[in-house]
Amino acid sequence: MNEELPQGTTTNAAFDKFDIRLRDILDVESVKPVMLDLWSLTGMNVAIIDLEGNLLIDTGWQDVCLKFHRANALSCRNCIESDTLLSAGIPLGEFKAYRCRNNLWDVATPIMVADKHLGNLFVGQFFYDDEEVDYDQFRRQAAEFGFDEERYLAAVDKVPRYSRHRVSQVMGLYAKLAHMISSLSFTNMQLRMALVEHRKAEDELRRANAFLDSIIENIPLMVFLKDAEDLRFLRFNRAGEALLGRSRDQLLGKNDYDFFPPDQAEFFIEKDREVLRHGKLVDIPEEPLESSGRGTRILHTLKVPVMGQGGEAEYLLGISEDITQRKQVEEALRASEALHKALAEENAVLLEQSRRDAEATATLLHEVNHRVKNNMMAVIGLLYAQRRFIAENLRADFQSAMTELAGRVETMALVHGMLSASKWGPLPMSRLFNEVMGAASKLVHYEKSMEFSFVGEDARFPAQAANSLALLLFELATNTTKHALGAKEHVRVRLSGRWLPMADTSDPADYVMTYSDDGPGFPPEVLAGQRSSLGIYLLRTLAAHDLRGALELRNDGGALVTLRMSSALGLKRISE
Amino acid sequence: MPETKMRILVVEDDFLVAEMIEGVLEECGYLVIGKATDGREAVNMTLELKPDAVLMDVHLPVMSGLEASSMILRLRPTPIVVLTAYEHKEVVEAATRVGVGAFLVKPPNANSLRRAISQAIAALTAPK
Repeated sequence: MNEELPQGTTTNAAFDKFDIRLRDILDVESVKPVMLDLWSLTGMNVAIIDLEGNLLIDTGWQDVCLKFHRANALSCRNCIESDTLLSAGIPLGEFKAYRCRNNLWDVATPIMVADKHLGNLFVGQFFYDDEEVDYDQFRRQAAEFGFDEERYLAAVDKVPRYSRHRVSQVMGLYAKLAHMISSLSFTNMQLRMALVEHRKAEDELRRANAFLDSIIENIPLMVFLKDAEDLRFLRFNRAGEALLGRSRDQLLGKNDYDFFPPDQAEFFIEKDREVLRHGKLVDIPEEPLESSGRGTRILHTLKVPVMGQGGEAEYLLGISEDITQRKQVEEALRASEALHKALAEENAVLLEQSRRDAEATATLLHEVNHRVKNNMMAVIGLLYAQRRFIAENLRADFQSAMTELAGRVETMALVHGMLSASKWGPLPMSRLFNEVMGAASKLVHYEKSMEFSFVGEDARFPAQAANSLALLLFELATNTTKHALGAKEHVRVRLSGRWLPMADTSDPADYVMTYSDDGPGFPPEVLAGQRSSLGIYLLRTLAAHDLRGALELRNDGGALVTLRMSSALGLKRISE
Repeated sequence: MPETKMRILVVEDDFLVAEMIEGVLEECGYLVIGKATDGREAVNMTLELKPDAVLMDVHLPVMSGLEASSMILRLRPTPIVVLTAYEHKEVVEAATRVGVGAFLVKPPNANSLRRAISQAIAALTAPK
């Protein structure tokens, strides 16, 4: 019988669904001795054959069957057809006599299990004693199947002859036996099916347990089970072993006092008793535990009672998470937050202080700027006042000197104003030139005129250099107004700038400024260095000292002054 | 140089700064007809001397430069150039509201002074 019967399948449904055969459920060993006893009592051959023609039990064979009909392939096919086809359709408990395809008599009664016909009990291989044996027929069979006729007919002669009454009596008995076998087989089958189902249930349980074990074993939390009575450990998982630093062999059968310091063990046991007393889950958010080799661990533990069938707690199940690291991180975060807060507060104070300092500095700077500017204006005012008095009493030369002096201070005040407006940032040379020339224009006699222009590449000058450059430009402009305009009605002034290309680009480039007018040019003695003036002295000093440049004076269609400066002075291209 | 010099009233409480402004004005060919040192004096001198233009400082004792400008423009409309230490947006806006036509950041130079006076005259004579 197929043992893979589904659980809960009824017997009849199992027959329909599965290929159940008589040989699987017939207890041959028990039935065969009974059959043999009956055979010895009746002398009639009896056999049990399933629907496929398999002989399950037999008691003896007539030579005609054993040596001829069953020994020949063609005649044997007749035997099997007779066993299967001719015996079909007989109700349980009844029998049917028929002549087999090889012309002997057989009587069959069915063996049925759960209304399904699985085989037959046969009594056969005989002739009735009230009939004539048709030897011609057997001769024809001998010829058809190639039997030795003489020996075949001799075997036919040995076939027993029974009265119809006797056959009927014996078959009544066998029909009852077949019925009994059917019932027994059915019971056997039910038993076996129950057994199969039981085994399946056991397998399922084993599988479920193995699955549960695997989960408990691999869960990354400590899982332990204690006996509710004495609180000894009954079970520990792998995470538990790792957490405690002890193997389960060391742990099982022991209690908390065997491993932990008394105060900890007492705490654990007290919580266990609380769980068992109230019969419900207890959540312990934090509990310290002294591990073996890993120091004190902080656990978050849940403990629940496991109830038995009687409603009493039988076990205590505990699940613990090691939250030591999380606690350390939380602690570190708290410390860090406190530190950040303190730093932030300190920063806020410092920021506020800096802001106030900056405000105070800005106010102070503003005030200083204002004062410086005012003082310069006052100095200029003094010079103008002085000039008025000189004009009344002394020579015109003094007046001119005072005017130039006032112009120089005015130039300083002008640059101061420009620098404070730019917050002391660098100023373009072209702008300085335009402003200075504008200031110098007041020195031009009203009947004369001076025009000025800037060409070429511009450069930004840092504050200190801008101041010196403005004074230098003022001296050049003064020179033009005095000398060039002394000789002409109208002069043109041109200032040009040029960045010199450098061979090695890592070197800072030089900047060349060229100032020219179309006046009569410098007197030869000035160019030869034989004559000087305050203006020339200032020009050379400012160029060499403040601007660290090379100054060249020459005449080329007028006065021409070239100043070459290094960008190390802090000069920047206007595009930078 | 014109035959008749333009007559200017300088209003500045700092004597030496007033000297400086006067020096620049003279170099430009203007005639300084008086120097007032506070706002009220500026109003009085304007009414009395009838200058062609007034150069007015903002921060003045007794009466501020803007108040004085406002009064002058009401009593005897005269071109006014306001002189400020820095170009503060608030001062410029307030001065514009009272009708001042030009501003100048100290220290004034000859060109900027000429330009500002011309601008103040143009602002006053322009059709409203």
